[in-house]
Amino acid sequence: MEAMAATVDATRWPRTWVASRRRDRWKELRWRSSVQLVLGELLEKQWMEPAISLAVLIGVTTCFMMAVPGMGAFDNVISTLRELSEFALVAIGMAIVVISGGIDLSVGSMFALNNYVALLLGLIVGLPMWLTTLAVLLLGCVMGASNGVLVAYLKAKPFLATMVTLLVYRGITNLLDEHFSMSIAAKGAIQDRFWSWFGTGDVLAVPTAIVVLVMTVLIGHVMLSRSRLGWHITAVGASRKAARHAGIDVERVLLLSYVFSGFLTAAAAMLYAARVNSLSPYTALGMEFAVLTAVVLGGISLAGGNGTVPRALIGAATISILSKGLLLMNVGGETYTLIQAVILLVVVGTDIKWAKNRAKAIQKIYINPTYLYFEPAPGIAPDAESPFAINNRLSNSFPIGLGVVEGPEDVVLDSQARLYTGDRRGWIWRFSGVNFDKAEIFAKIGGMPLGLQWDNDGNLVICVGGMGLYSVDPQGRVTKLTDETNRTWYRLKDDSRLRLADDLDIASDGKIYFSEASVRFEAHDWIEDGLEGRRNGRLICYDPATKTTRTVLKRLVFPNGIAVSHDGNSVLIGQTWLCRILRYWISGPKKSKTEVFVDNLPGYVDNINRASDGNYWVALVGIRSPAFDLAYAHPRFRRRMMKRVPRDEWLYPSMNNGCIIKVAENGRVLESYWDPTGNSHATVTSMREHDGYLYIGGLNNNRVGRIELAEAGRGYSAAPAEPVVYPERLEG
Amino acid sequence: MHLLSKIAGVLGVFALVTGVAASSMTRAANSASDGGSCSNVPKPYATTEQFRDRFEKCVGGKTVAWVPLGMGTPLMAEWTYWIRNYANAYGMKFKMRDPNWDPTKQVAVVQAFINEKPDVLIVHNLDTGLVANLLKQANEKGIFVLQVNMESNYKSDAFVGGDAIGIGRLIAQDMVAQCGAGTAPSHEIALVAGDPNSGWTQQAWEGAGPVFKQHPEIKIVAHQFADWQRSKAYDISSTILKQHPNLCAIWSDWDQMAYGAARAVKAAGLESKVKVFTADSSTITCQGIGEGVFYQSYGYNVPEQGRQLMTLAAYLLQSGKPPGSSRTVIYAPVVKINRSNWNLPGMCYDGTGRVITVQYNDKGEVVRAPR
Repeated sequence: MEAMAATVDATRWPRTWVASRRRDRWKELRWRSSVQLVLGELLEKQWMEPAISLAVLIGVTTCFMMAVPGMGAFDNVISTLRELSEFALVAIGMAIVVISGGIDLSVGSMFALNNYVALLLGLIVGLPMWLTTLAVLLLGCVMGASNGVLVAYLKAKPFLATMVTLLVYRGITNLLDEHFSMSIAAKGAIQDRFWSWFGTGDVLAVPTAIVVLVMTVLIGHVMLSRSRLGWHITAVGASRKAARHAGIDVERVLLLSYVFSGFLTAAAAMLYAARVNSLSPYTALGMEFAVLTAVVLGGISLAGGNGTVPRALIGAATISILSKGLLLMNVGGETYTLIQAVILLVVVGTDIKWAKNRAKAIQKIYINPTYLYFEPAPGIAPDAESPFAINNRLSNSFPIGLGVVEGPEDVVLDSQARLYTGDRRGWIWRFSGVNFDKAEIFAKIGGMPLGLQWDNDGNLVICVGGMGLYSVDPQGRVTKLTDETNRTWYRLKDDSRLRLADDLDIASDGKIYFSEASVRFEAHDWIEDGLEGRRNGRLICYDPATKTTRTVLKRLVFPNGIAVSHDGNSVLIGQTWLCRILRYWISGPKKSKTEVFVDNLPGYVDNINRASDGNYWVALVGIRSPAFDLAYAHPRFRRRMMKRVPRDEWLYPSMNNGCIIKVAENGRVLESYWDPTGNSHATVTSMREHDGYLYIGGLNNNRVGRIELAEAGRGYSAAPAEPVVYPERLEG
Repeated sequence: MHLLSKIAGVLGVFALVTGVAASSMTRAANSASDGGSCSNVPKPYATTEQFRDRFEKCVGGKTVAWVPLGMGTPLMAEWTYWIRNYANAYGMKFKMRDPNWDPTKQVAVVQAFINEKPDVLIVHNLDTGLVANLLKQANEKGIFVLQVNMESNYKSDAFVGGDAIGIGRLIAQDMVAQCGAGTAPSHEIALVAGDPNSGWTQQAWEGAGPVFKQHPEIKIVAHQFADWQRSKAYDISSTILKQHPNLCAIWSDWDQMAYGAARAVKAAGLESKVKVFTADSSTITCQGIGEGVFYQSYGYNVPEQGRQLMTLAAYLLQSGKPPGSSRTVIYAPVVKINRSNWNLPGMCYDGTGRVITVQYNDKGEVVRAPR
């Protein structure tokens, strides 16, 4: 057994698990992957909404390809695409308006009027093709602008305003028709080379209309997703008030979105006029209905602020193929309208439900407990024969920054004995002077400053939860070192961005090793990772020399504290939920190997630091309870709990009275420091030895504590060996 | 977006491949049916068997595609009945798609039919320009194109219709007789026409316009278009009647639409004063004349047109001439239907094909519209 244990990977086979490891291995494997896990991450994806629409499009296309003979014939595909082009252009225009938070019901009428005017100019006035096109596009812009002025500047409700212009534009078309139709009809069709090229011709074997559509989609997509104006349109649609507060000229943006709609409708009408040559004033009657269905079908929310140009194209294609398929099947006009209405109803209903419940659904299934097994914890009773026996060595610590700091996760001191600590407000405090009574904000970074360490140049390197790895120079200037690493190609969830950089240490070669506790949970949701207990974290290395970041170890359960060993050959990694510390060799004969340094601790491991006597300080942020140990072995139980019980009554890993322990180089635990009262140090997340004192930080604490160490540690400092010249002199 | 674009790419390729494969298959199928060419006209003394075989080869198994304006009226239903039944009788395949009065859809339907390449295409044109280019294309692609009642600017193999110019002239003359000089008290008339872009409306006015010009006493107080819609004709007529209560007559192009005008006249309580003139002879015509809301209508034997279309189709398929190489026009005989003959048997068709229509005037004569 011992021999076998020695050959297996220590990260997976802790010493204490040997007896039951085969059973555990299966359970662990069984729970490692889960459909729910994939689903949860899938639903979170931005591209999920168009994915559903795309699936509908594929479904509709496949159905009709099979049901309607001739649907997939080359000629039919080409003519369907031509018809789609006109419709899709209008849908893109409508989509832009809908994304900006409005609606444009007048598209059908605009289309009809533009079509009429195009033929009028071409036939009666006899304008050349290019001039006609220009005039029609201009007319489209003017009509769109009228809508825009009504909505943006006269503050009319988009629905009513565009409904009125719907009637106006249609009325104008009818008037023109009564006046001109007889004379136009006498003239016959336009027999112009350019007109027929525009309507039914090709560009390098691709129909002109398709070329126009593809260009519009490309330009429109870049405009909407990459340009300032596009972002403004989306912002205004998402929240008009917030957009105004952000300094966006809301009226201008609204006006422009309606102008886009008018312009694209005019372009579509131009294509239609050239292709169909029809003077019917009833052209595009009820088109707004079909266009709106298409837009919503594409997954563009009617609430505004959410949508892209390709989505509008997907919706338009679906409606086009649907209408073409039904037409080829000779499903009567009224039935078709009915089918379209039912689709709109279903899609709008789903759209509302989806928009409303998506976040909730994700929340419901996102947390995915996995299987963890624990041996019984070592005793911590005050009278126990154990290094963990509770004492009160922390109870009377000297408070620093009491009531000034909020949540000092980590502390570090410089060579002038000034104390630096993070704060949950995103600040770095510096305490100096006698009894550290002078408090100043050294730097404001933002995010959640966690682990701190000096680099060799005297810069303070900081892990900032929610942001990444940052550096603050002695003058307090903040520099971003890195906020991304290489992405895991097979993961749905994008893990390239650093979500929860936690603690760091710097090796002798200057490389910064830091932990990212979880790639699945945001910094403020870190405790939910504890409910999961999955291998969501990683060890990352940033090399300041090459300014590159790479992931060293993947799939670690909540790696938290990081400390480079005294000999500089390995990195200790504290794994919070596993109550285990790993040793990862960065140099020497065991390079790149991982082994368990210490296991089955009585509490959840937080930061780790070197001690002056060649040992290591380890903070235990909370103490295990038998109940939650048991819960860890029963993922189904935890899942049921999350489903049935309100969130505030869930069992969490207990973040109660923690302690500090000292661990020898061989992994043996030597002693512990406790505050059983919980008054001074309810949670302990870090400690730092400096000049005979131990400074104690706590994520939820209102102070940094200091105790005097019995052992001789005078003169020891974690600060860089070469003292840096600081602008300020030490006072007192 | 990366994944999305990949999926879209794969799909695009898939669609293209299936599209190309399917189209080459249809093309192969088409060329197979073209293989039995009917360009060789049989010798005068060919055997009856040869004649029969030729009919089977040239007509049987061929496809006739029919594009009405929109179903839901006896006019289209009657044509459809006869085209479908004769297609069955000739052993032809029948295809119909309904654009439901939507110009965009009519274009799409005609385009789709051209893509499928039937042997005969029959179109009821929504307007003169709408599918003109497509009909030309169809002819060029080897499809015989027949038009019914409403002409396109493109004149294809055959046109079967009421003679709209002649009927227009007849109606104008009748209206002048009722409302012109020597009649009392009003010479005001109103025109509630169909669709100014349609062949029928244009041609009817071509026939009527000069007649009214010759009679300057006739005052056309309104010339509007109700787009073949009964409700719209009702609305327009109501307005006209309010403005011109002394109106002598209303002309409305088509009986289905004219019935709206007639109801408006009745609603205004003017049915004894305002005479409603119209054309076509579906049951609504006989009913309207019986009720006294229509003054008269010109019938042009719609059921006969359906049969004529199929006769011409069978003729063209056997003629040995390529599509687009001949132009034939068949005008239906017209008959004036009024109080004197509206209830004679078979005067009005009902869209089911069951009324054997024999339209004749009160003297029992089938007549010809004046040239």
